[in-house]
Amino acid sequence: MAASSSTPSSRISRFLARLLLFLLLLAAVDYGLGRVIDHFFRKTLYGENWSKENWLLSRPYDVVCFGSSRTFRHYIPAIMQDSLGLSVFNAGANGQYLYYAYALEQLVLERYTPQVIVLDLLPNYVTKAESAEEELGRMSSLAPYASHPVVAGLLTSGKFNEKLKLRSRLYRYNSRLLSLAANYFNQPGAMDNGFVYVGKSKFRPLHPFPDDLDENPAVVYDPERIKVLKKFIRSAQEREIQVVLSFSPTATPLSPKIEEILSFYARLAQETGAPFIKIVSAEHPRFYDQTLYSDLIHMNELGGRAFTPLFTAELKKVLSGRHPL
Amino acid sequence: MLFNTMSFGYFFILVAALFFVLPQRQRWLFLLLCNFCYYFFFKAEYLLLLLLAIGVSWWSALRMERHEEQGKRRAWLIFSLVINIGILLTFKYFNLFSRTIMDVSAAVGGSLQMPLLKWALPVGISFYTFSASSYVIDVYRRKLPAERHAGLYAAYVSFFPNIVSGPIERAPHLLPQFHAAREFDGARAASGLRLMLWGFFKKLVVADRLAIYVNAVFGNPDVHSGATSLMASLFFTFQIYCDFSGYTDIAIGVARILGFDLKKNFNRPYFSRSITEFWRRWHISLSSWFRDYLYIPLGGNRVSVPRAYLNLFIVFFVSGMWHGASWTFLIWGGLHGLYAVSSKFSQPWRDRTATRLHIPGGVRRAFALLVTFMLVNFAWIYFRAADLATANRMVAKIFSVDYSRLFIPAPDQFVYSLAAITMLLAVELFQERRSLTAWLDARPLPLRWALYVSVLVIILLMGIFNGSQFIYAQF
Repeated sequence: MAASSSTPSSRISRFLARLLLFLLLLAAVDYGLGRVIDHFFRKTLYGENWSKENWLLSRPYDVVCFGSSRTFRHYIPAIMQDSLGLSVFNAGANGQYLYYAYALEQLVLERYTPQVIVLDLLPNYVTKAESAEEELGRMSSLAPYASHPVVAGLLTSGKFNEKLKLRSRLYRYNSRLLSLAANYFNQPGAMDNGFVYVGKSKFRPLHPFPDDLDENPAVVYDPERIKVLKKFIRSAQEREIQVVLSFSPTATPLSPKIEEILSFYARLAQETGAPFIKIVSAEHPRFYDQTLYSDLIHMNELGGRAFTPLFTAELKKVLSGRHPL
Repeated sequence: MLFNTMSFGYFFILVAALFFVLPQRQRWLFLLLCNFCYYFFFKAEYLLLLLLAIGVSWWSALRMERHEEQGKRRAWLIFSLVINIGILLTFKYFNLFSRTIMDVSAAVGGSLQMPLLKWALPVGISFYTFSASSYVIDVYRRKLPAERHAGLYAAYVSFFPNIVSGPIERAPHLLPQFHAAREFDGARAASGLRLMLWGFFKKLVVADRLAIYVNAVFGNPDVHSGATSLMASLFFTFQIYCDFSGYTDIAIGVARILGFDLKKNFNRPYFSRSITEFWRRWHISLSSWFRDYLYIPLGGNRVSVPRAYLNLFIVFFVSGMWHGASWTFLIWGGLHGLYAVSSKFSQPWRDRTATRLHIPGGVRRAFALLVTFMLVNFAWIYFRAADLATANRMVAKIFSVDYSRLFIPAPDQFVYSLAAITMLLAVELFQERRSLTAWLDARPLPLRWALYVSVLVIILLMGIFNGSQFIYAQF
């Protein structure tokens, strides 16, 4: 009856006013509930997800090692701390590459200034072995930090629709609420400043570098990724942080393609003034021992225990000004 | 521009806003342009096919009406059906036909080469060709006068909310709505939005969530146990329902906001107690289409008992064919045909047994519901599998005794899946007992809004926002 007793325009106005009110209510609930989840999220320091990011961001560390699963498995903070006398955190993450490291570095720099930042390099940090879209697609664990412009930019790839979605505080925790709750109530795990002791695992000839899987014999560099790598280095250097690039050993000799990329890294290190600690198995043949590895490019705990002191010794040289660029 | 994309959101807001701002006499033209624009975004070239289907059916119906002589009327009917169904068959079956000939040729030592179409199936072709065909048949049967206004007829066939995946609208129901004046009605719009919200819940929270598990298992059946295969088949049963009925809810909601009523396409099918009832509740617009334009013309059940069973089987088999040129769809349709025929055949015996054993009505109903669900679930395995070999492997796994381990890649994601199904069933169970719409309308506004906000919060927290295709958009 109401529909027929009023003019169409007044009905539309009334409907739009109600709709607007509803949307405001939704926005308020989204913000309020989102903040509540935020509160619990920041306190999530244990469990499988986010504990790493939250540990890293919750207190200052003197040395932070960024990178992929190779960083995660190769750099043992306890050994580095004992030798350097500095607090060390291993921020390497499985399945994550340069973009993740850059996003995490920006989050760290927003909160504190470490003395040293180490970036363990993978060949595909500067090549097109994997599409940027795929790599960025794996970074959704950083969605709760989407208030940071760099993180938001990477997560959304600059797309308007994605930016709009991330405006929702609840959406940032999409599919994560249960694991968040589980982690919140979890007891402290066996994490040592980002490193997880996984014990000795058996070698399996799997997981070569993504660039070695690429059938194209020529290296195809990605100018966008190179730009991001330079930004990673410069944003730390601008805060007078010592940036160190590194490359850790592999179970088998490096292919010519990987050697070429390492030469590129050496040139980049020269250009940016960041020391490059390259520890390759060809120069340290004991790292060809397959008992130190779980696969072609990942060491096991035994490997980590063999590699970390060697790397730390080189890092010490850098810090005392004795390491050549 | 599928419903679950942001682009559709912008498109629809613009369409709805302009539609009600424009004067009544211009609205049909605006809607027609929007329909074409919507279709154009899928693949511009296929707009020509849509225009051909519209043009041929509209012109044939007009010509048919000018003739009293049955033979000429039939000629125009055949002409229209050959073009419309021909388009459908060409796109769906040409490659299967060519490959079969080449295979036969190779089997007898020949090397016959046949051309293969490299075009993707035009979006919504199975739906709009059926709408257009039913219109021509209805005009032929003199159930409906031919539409003189080409624009209104085109707007009916190409109506954007239902062109991709239905409901398959018949002209007597939808076409007159294009003639009527449309005024904005807040209550209608609110009810449309409510339906859209529930549709999005089904698609994003249930269907797309379950799809993750289903795809992982159906994509690699050899490595999974019987328990996992069974779980994947159960998940797919809910996935396909929520994917398709979610689409339908959104389509009906969108149309309702614009002032149009689309027919109900689903009526909680998994609460059916027989296969016949299932088909009265599942994809209602297609099953009623087949009933009116295939089953009844074949003689329906007004023929000898064996012939009636054959008619029933033919309808389900053709329904399987409608879904695509694949053995899996044919088997799916054939299984439903067998279910329906054996259900009818065994009905008297089952009734007698139940009476003799004094089985209480409640137990009998629950048993019938469970058996129907399991039969439907079994047939879905063939529907979902990429090929016959995969389907057979899944079935073999399920009937194996390997129930030792259940594949759970991420426990929390698995819990989300179970929670999503539970929420769906809770709402549907409520709807089985009373009308949710009526219940909601009787509640005070703050409570209603609290419920809507809760659903939106669940969607934001549990939905999968990857813009994945609706399953029935491929048909």
